[in-house]
Amino acid sequence: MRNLHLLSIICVFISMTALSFAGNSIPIQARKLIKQRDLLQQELLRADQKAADAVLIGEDPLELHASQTGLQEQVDVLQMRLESLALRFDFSLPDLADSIRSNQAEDLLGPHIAIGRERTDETIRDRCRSDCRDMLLQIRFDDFLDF
Amino acid sequence: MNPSDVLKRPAIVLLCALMIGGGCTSTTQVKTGRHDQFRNSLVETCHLIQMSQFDRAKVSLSDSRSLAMNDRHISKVDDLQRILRGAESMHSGNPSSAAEVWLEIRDVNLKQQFVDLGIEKGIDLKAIADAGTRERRLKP
Repeated sequence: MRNLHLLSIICVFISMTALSFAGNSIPIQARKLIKQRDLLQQELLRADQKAADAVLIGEDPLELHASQTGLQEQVDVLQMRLESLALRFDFSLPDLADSIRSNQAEDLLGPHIAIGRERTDETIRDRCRSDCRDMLLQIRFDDFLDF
Repeated sequence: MNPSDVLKRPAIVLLCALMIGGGCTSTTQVKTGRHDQFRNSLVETCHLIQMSQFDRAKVSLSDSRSLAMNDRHISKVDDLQRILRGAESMHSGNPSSAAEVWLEIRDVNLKQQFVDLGIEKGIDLKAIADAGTRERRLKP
């Protein structure tokens, strides 16, 4: 009798835990869509940055505007689908990112190229110093001083 | 008329002429002296720049500026200032900044020399100046 009571308590506990997890879990299909949406959003943010840079250097960002519009439409469609999935399966949808995440490839490469970059900088410094000395020695000021 | 007055007048006129002439000569000599001083100061500055003695070149250039008498002189001092600034940037390993300053040199011959010597050394001053400008524009 006592064992039965203990078993029933365990069963109730397990079912409650399962229910609470089930309430917040995101279906696999939705997860895939969220991943896809986030990738597109990052691409869109990069396109925004690129367009802004183009404007700053006086270039016409017409083509970039076209790609921005295309990406924005894709993100909107995915967002709508995800919102309806979230309502149906009762899960909370992660917010859209509003800033560019650092590129993972760059993060991984960073430490590996740091040594190379440092060595290059050092070489440039040395070369600049010696080239500058040579250039200044070869400059002829005769005409400049003939007045 | 008193005969002594007749003699006095040409003497006074002659004296005045001598004084005016002397004054003019003195002014010309002062100007020539200052011009030479300016030129010598420029020569010294150029020599110090060639020897990469930038701190001493700065002092000498400051003297040159104080001796400059006209726009042409000031323009020469400004050009040497550009050469000096560019050389300091180059020496500290900042070629794009050096290129930008050197390309601002007004004296056509000097500027061309820097461009040509750069090419000889494998340094395209115009390209690195443009790259530097682009990089600065892209930075937020």
